[in-house]
Amino acid sequence: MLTTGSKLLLGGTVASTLAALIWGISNGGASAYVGVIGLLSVALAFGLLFGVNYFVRDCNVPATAPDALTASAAAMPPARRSAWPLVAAFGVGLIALGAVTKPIVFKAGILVVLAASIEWMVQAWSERASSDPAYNDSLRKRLLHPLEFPLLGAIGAAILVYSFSRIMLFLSKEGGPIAFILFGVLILGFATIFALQPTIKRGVVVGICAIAALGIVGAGAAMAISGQREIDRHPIVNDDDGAQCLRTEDQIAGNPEYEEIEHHSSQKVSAKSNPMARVVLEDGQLRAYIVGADQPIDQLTVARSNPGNILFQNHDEGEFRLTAFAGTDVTKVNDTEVKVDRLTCTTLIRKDGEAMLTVNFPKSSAAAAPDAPYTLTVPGLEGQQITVVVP
Amino acid sequence: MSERSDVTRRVHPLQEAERAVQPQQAPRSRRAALLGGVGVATLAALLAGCAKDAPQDTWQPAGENARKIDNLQEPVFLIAGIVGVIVFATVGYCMVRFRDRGQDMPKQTHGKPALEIMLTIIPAIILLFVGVFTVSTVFALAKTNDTECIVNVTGQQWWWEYDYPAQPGCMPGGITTPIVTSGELVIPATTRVLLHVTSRDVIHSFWIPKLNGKRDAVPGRDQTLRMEADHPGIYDGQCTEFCGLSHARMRMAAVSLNSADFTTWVTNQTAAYTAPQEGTLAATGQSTFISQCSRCHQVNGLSTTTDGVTTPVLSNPDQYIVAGAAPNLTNLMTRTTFAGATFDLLTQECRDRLYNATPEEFGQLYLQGVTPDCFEEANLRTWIRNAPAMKPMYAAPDETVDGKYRGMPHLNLTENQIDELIAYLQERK
Repeated sequence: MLTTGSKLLLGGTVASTLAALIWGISNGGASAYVGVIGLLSVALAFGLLFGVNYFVRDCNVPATAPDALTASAAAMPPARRSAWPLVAAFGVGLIALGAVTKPIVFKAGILVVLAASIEWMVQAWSERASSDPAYNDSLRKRLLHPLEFPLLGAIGAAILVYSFSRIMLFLSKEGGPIAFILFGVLILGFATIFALQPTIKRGVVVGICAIAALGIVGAGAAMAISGQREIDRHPIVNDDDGAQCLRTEDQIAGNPEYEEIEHHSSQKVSAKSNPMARVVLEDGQLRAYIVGADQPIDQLTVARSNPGNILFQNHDEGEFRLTAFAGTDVTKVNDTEVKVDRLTCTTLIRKDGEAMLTVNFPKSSAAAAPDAPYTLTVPGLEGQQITVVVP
Repeated sequence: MSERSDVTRRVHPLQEAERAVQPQQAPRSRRAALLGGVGVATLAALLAGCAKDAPQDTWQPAGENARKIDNLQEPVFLIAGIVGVIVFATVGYCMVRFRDRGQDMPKQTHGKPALEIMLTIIPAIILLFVGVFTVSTVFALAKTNDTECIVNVTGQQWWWEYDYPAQPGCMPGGITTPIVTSGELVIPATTRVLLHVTSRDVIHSFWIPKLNGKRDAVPGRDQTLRMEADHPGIYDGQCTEFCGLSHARMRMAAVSLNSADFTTWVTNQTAAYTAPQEGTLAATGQSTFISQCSRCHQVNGLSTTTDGVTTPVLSNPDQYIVAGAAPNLTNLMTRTTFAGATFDLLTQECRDRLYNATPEEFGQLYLQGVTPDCFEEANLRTWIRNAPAMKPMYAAPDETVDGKYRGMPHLNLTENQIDELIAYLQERK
C-alpha cells in the first residue's frame, strides 16, 4: 500500500517526467536540452525519494503499534520556530555581496552559512530525537554548548578588543595611557566591589558588565568612524643611488623631505636586540666593540651573505649616521659602465641616540677593490672608519 | 562490632564491576617470562650507558664548561634518581600490599595537614637547592668577559663555517689574517674560546657534548658559547635542531691543539696559495675547478691570467646557493672530513689512529692532514660524482628555490673530470 508521502513523491515523479516530455517536444534547440535535463533530474530526484520512502515505509504507522502515539516519527511534535534559516539567508546574502565587494565579506558569509547550517541541522535532528521536548533540548545543548560558548566568548572578546583598539587609536598619544589607566582602575574597582560584596544581586553585576561592554563597543564604533589620530610613520630611506647615506646633518637642513625622514626615526633600540657588534661615536672617535673582546676593534669580521645587525650609538653633539660600504656594483647601460656603491645606513642619530643597521656583504673582501675596502663610516667625520673583513 | 568493620563492609560499585570482568590470572610461567624479558631489557639499557667509546657522551666532560654542567647534572640526577626510587618503591609497595584480593573497601580519609606540609616543604627545599646551583652554573656558562679567543660560527644547511677574526688572542702574537674554514672547529687547548654562533638560513644548534652545552644558531642573532678543551684531541658534535632533509648529516668536530700546534695550524691556513705544477693532472684539475666548482667554492689565492692580466677567481655562492655560502676549500686536506663533517677524508685505519692518539702526539698527527697513504679517495670521488646521492639535500633532484640549490647539486661530471678534481683537491693543504 502506498502511503500518503509516497503518493506525493510518485505524483511528483510522474508530473516531472511528463513535463520533460512536453518541454522537449514543444521546444527546440539548446533550451530544450537544458529544460529536459533539468526536469528529468527533478523526476529522478522525486523517483529516488519515492523509492526510499516506499521501501522504508516512512510515516506508515500501524494502528496496532503500542508506542505509535508517543514514539514514532509521525507522533513527534512539529518543528519549533527557528531563526537559523533567517541567519543562513543572511549569510547567503553576505556571500553574494562579498562576491562583488570585498573578499572578507564573502568569507564572513561562508562562516555565517556554515554556522547556521550546523545549528539548524542539530536543532532539527534533536527535535526528532525523542518525543520529550525537554530531553531534545538538553541533547541539543549538550552537543552544541561546548562549541557555542568558546566561540561566542572568543567573538565577544574579539569585538571588545577591537573596539578598545579603535578607542586607543582615536585618542591622542597623551590621552591613550590615561584612558588605559582609567579602564584598568575601573575594572579593578568594580571587581573589588563584586568580590567584597558577595550578596550583590546577579542582575546588578550583569547590568554593569553589559553597560560597560556596550559602552566600549559603542565608543569603539564611534571612534572608528571618526578615524584614528595622525600616527608618525617610521621613515624608510629609499636610497637606490646611495646618496642619502652620505648626507650629513648640514646637507639635509632646509629640505623638508629629508628632514621628515631623518628627524622622525626611532632613536632607541630594544634592550632585547642582539647585534653582532656595537659601533660607538664618542669624542670624534669611531670605535667598534664585539662581545668577548675587552678592547675596541678597528677591523670587524663579518660572515659573507649573512644579514647581521650592528648597533650604532652616538654620544657626540650633533646628528650623525653610520654608513656601511659593501663594495661597488658595476653594470653596463648602453655599453657604458655604471658604478653604484652598495651603501646602507642609519638615519641621522641624535646625541645619546642609537639605531640598528642591518648589513649584508654578499661577496668576500677579496672582491673589493684594494683601494676601497668594505667599511663602516660616519659621513662628515674624517679619518674615522671601521674596516669590515668578509673572509 | 567496631566502627571500622561497619564502614569497611561496604564495597565500591567499581570494585564489583572490576571483579565481574577480571580475567583469569596468567599462568605463573608466562608471568615469569614477561618479568625476565623486562629485566633483561632494563639491564641492557643500563649497561648501554656504560659504553666507553661514546664520542658524544655528555657524561665524559673534557673541558671546563662541560665539567660545570656535569658537576650540576650529576647531583641533580642523583637527587632525581633517589626521589624516583622512593616514589616508584612507594607506589610499587602500595600496589602489591593493597592490591585487590576481594577484601572490603578500606576506610576513606581526607586531609592530613602534617603530611601535606611535609610533602610541600621537602620538594621546595630540593628545588631551592637545585635552583641555586643551576642559576649559578647558568651565569658561569654565560660569562663572556674572560675569554681569550673569538671564533665566529655560522650554520647553514647542512654544514658549519668557522671564521677566525683578526685578533690579539688565540695564540701568542694573535691572528693577523682572518681565517675561514668548515667542518672542524680548531681551537687552542686550555684556552677559553668564545664562539659567536649564528645561522644563514634556518635555526640550527651547535653542540659539542664533551666541551659545553648546546647553543641555537638563529638567523640574525649573535649568540655566544664558551668552549675550552683540557687537552689536545678531537671532540665530535651534532646539529641538535632539526633543520631540514640532511639534519642528521650536519655534524661537526672541535679539534683542540696545543699552543705551538695551533700556531702552526694558523700559519698553514694563512699561507699563500700554491698552484699545481704545470702539466700535472692537478694543474688540469685547477682548470676544471675554476670552470665547475668556483662558482660556489672559494680557494683563496686562486687566479686566472689572460693577456698578462691576473684576475682572482672569486666564488659567488650567493647566486647559486640558498644559504649564500659554500665551504671554502683552500685547505681542504688539512681537515679529516668533508660535507658537513659527515664523510671521512681519512681511511678508517688513519682515522682510528688519530682518534686514539695520546694528547702529546695528537697535534703532530692532525697537522699532517690527509696524506696520500691515509686518503679515503672513494668517499670524495662518490661525492663529486653525485653529491645528493650521498647526502640528500632536496626532495626532488631538480628542486631549487628561486633558481638556487640548498646544497651541492649533481654536476654530471665525467670520470676524467673527477680524477682531475681529486688530484687538484689533494694538494689543498
